[in-house]
Amino acid sequence: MSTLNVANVTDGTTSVPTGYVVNGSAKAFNHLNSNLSVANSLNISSCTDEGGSAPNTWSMNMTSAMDNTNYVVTSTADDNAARVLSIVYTSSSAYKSHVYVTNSPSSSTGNVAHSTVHGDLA
Amino acid sequence: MIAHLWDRLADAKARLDPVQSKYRVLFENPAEPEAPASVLVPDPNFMAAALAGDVLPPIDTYIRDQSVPDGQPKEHPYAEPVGAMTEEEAIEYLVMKDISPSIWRDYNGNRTIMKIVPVELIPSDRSFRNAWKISQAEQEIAA
Repeated sequence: MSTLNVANVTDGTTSVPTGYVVNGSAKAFNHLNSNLSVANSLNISSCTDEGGSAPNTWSMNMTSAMDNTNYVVTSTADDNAARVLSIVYTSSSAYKSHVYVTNSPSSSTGNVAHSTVHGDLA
Repeated sequence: MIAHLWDRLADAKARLDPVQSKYRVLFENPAEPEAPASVLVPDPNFMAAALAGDVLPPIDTYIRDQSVPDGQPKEHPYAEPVGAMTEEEAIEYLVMKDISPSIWRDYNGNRTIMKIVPVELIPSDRSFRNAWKISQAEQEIAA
């Protein structure tokens, strides 16, 4: 693995400190299907479908933990039957998405939920 | 110098194909007997990193870090990476990392509250998702 050790990034006209790039990039993301599969992700070790009647709870576990629980999760859902209702920060390495999904046979292939994590790594 | 775990994960994602595990972990929380069974889904990029080796830290660093207060330095980001695992070893690693020790280590009851099962045994019909329980019958797995 190679390392660039630079203080600033520039496109020839505008220059920004690399701290803006490092601190501003997403530290984790996941694209979750309700058919119990993960379509794409970064820094996620597992997702747990905790079930329940609506809303369902999905717990995301990160491989490289955040420094504290004051990180930020942005979560969305597509499919007309899915809604992200709230995020619960359970620890520096896990958070829960409460997602309203329709518990029906057809929901097993739809109701896609996604989330991104910003903040400081441990 | 060991690269930060996040950097190793980003590098692994760029060079390794994701691996969809053929296993799921079913578990129940003994503290919430009325709650439905949970289903842990291994992340495909995590599985790829575990099977390739030299990315993930030793599991005991995560367990020790659970008692480290927020804001204090944690051990797992800069721990020496472990070698390649089998898929079964990677699932056991995930159980210890992402499931409470009260379920996989401390529970002494007679009820089976955790099972590692092939993915095809998880029901695809979520009609009764709020009532899924781990079957207590021998060789019978799902809800």
